[in-house]
Amino acid sequence: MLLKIAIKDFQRNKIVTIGLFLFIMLSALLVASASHIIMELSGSLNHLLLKSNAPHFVQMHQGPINHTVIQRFVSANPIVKKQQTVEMLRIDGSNITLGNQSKTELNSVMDIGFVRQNPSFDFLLNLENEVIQLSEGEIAVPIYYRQQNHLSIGDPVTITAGTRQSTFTIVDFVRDVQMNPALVSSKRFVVSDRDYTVLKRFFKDSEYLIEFQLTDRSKLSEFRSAYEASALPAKGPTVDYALFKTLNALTDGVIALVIILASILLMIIALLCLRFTMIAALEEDYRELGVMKAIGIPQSEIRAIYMAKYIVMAASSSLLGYLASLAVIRIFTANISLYLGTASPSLLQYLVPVLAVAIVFGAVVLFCKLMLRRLNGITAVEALRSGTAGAAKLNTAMIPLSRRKWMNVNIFLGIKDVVGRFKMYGLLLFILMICTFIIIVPVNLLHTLQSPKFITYMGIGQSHIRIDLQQSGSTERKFESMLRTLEKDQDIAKFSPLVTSRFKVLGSDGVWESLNVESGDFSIFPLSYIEGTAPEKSNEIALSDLNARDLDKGLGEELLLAAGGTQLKMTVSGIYQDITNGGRTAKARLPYDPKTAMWYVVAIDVKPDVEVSAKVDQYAKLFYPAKITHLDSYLSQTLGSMIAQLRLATLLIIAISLAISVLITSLFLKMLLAKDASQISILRSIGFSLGDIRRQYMVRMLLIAGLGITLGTIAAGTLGQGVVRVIGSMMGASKIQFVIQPMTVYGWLPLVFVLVVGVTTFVSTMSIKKSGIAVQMSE
Amino acid sequence: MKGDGEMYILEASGLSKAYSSGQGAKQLVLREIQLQIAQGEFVAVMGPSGSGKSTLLYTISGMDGISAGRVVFKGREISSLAEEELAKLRLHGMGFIFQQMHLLKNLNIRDNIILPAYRANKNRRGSINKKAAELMKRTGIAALAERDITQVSGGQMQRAAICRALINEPDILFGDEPTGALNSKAAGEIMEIIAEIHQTGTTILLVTHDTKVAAQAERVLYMLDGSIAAEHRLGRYEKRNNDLKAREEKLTAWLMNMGF
Repeated sequence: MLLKIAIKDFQRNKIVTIGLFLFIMLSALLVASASHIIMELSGSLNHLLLKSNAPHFVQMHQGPINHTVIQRFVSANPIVKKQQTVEMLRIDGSNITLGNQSKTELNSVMDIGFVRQNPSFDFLLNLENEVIQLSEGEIAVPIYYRQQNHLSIGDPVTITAGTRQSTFTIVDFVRDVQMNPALVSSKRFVVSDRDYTVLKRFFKDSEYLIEFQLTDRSKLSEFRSAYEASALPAKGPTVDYALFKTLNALTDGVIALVIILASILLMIIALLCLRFTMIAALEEDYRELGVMKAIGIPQSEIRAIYMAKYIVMAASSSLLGYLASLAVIRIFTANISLYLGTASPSLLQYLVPVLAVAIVFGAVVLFCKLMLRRLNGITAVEALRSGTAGAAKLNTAMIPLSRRKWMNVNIFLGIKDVVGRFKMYGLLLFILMICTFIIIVPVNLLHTLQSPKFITYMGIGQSHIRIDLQQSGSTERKFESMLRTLEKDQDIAKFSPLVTSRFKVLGSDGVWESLNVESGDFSIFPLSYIEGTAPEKSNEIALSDLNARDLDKGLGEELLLAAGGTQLKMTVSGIYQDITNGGRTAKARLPYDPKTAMWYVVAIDVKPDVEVSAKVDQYAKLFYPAKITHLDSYLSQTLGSMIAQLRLATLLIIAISLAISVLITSLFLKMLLAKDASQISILRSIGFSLGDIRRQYMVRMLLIAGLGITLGTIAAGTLGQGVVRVIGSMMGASKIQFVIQPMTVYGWLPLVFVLVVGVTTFVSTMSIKKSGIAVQMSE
Repeated sequence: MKGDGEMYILEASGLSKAYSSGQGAKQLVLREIQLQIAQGEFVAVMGPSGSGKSTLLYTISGMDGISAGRVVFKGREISSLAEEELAKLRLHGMGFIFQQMHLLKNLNIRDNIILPAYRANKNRRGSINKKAAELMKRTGIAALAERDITQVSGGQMQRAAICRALINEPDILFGDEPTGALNSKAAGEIMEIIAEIHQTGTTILLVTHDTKVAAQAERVLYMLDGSIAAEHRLGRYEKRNNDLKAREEKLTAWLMNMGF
């Protein structure tokens, strides 16, 4: 009988068993891959940091530099181990052609810098993690471009300066600990010292990286304060060792995290499937279990029959998953190998994925053990007498049928069953709720991002045209002439110049920090404030939400601003949401000082009869190289790639979510039909047709689906909104309000869900026909 | 139809039933059964275990398919009817009582009884409730109407099952060992109820092991190896004749003669 049960169990559940096998295998595959990625990532990253001798603190600086001041600071600071100032030649993409392409890097989003190899640290490495050494005419190109432009060793790089062209040959690709990741928008090209000197004659725009290595890395924040307190060059952002680590690990780390999440999801689904199939199997075998108990087979042995099957299945699928991970892991780690190189692997690197797979296996086995505790509850007599485990407590308290004057009997029985066994249906309800939730939240987010109202979260007012002008040598002059032109332009209804300058602000911890303040008249193009209003007087300031929290300042409170040796006492007039510039911005009406100005923006509204796009084209030519944007397309430009990704992810989530709903609903019904076999036969014997019974199941499932979908939708609007707000507030928009398209969210999405559950129920209940009534009734 | 114009309510001819017993082999459980049951007749089926009694009951009532032959119920061939039609027949024309009472677990006694009538939707629900109350009173369970099925005894459950079988006023009542799971006192009471039902004109086909039960039938069929081996006519039973004992003795003697 033992073998018979095991074979029967496989035969009646062929598809489910194969499905379970696949789920566990995929889960093992993913968890092994993810842990492998993490191990390899940390190994390779540490290796790269070591080999390149990464700096601990880097201040970027644009403008003239005084080396003696830096030297004096270094000698006065004992924690500085090494210091070097790297000069980087900024060359505009329009002057550079990579490989044999005909077009330049004009449209590149990257800032391109040319450097020499560094003498003492921050080495630029080649793909073998060796320090790059170049001769005249040779160039080493960042790895980013190898992928982006499909470059290979030996390809040419052409640099044009006026009428002069110089061509270099690619001999290496640069692994750059500071600027490696695609996320970092600057890239360093390496040329020989001599070529560098030649290039410098043609390109005057240079930036400096003032780099430090410390004797003790833990004193980084102390050093940072000391640097900021000094009068050292600081026209530009600072980066440090921790940031290099984070940025280098981010892309692959996020991939690993997503894979782990996917694996956990698969695991949960696998366990749910396991639960429903095991309950169904135990239900169907109930009488046989009773017989086995009655004839004295010990419980442990009975359990062993069921365990054996699942242990064999879990072990083989986990093993297969692990082996598959060895086959595919190179796909996942190719990026790591390319960008970070490979370190010689440690024993741990092999051990951790094995351990992770072992956890998957252990979880399945443990879950089976827990499920089989149900066997304890079966008494031989009970099993033989009733033939089914009537475990769930029935609730007959509902208003009886005899007092229902109008309700259809099938509907009554369907509802009655759901009410009576709500605990059992609860799990399905919960799953359908989660499935709805994870669909609606990204759909709402997508609609919110696509909505023109999203401008509220970007710290800008609504205007027709926006002009961006970055600081460079002659920007100030260009800006002033631009304003003169705009003033004379008859097509323009109103415009507002805004200048962003770097100030110092006294932080809540008493340390002076940098603060970018945009100055201008914010009443011309008003933005929306969470609290308060736009700054109106020269001593008023509006803070972005993140800055307000960082500085611990509320409405009406005062803060100290420092610029050019003078201190200003400012009052907070308003707080607004902003996800641009890392969420840290401020707005005030401070006098314009060209020395501290970093970038310029002009917001413009044209007169009603003027065509905006024509104006954009006109200004693009007139004010070159300023960036002219039609504000309608500003959102789609800035958020375009994010929206595209989110749309893809949403479609994927919808597909997965619906697939899970189908799977779980059908397995749940399989279990339910096994449990209800005798009740179904009774109904049929007294004259209920199969159609009647299917309708009852339809009522039950649609009731649960309706309830689940409703709760899921409500949760998405409340809890989901909350989650998005938490994430949003990290980026600077703490009060994101979902823009909801009711037709989608309350209309066709729930409809599709209900339809999917309905069709699944219809298909699943087709199998009732196979079970004859006579067999059940004569027992 | 019988020659003298008496109506057969249920007729089986050449009825065979085979179960496949693994590896393609077939086991014949019923062999070319010929059976006619007249309107208002009370027929009992007896025979040793495995002789095909219950199978006869389930095939002839359309609850189980047949392998060969035909079954005609009220002039209508039912062996080829669709499932939906068969369900309608069971709902309107047939009543069933089983050895296990097979009541629905999540309904109370009254709801179990009225369920087929509410489904049939022939009468107003008020009059159905009234009818159920009468039936419960007649079978002595009027006080238990609101109880859960777990709160009543086996005999009481069987009474409820009988009420359920009768609620749609069926043309024929099928019983598969209806007293088999009851003690002798309860069994006696159930038999009395069944006899009363017969008095009111309902046709009854009953499978039983119990001679005391079978003795109340007009005709007893003896089944052996899937065939009706013999039949014995006892004549109509009238309670006032007080001859049940004698009928039982006569039946037992016949059965012993048959090798039972």
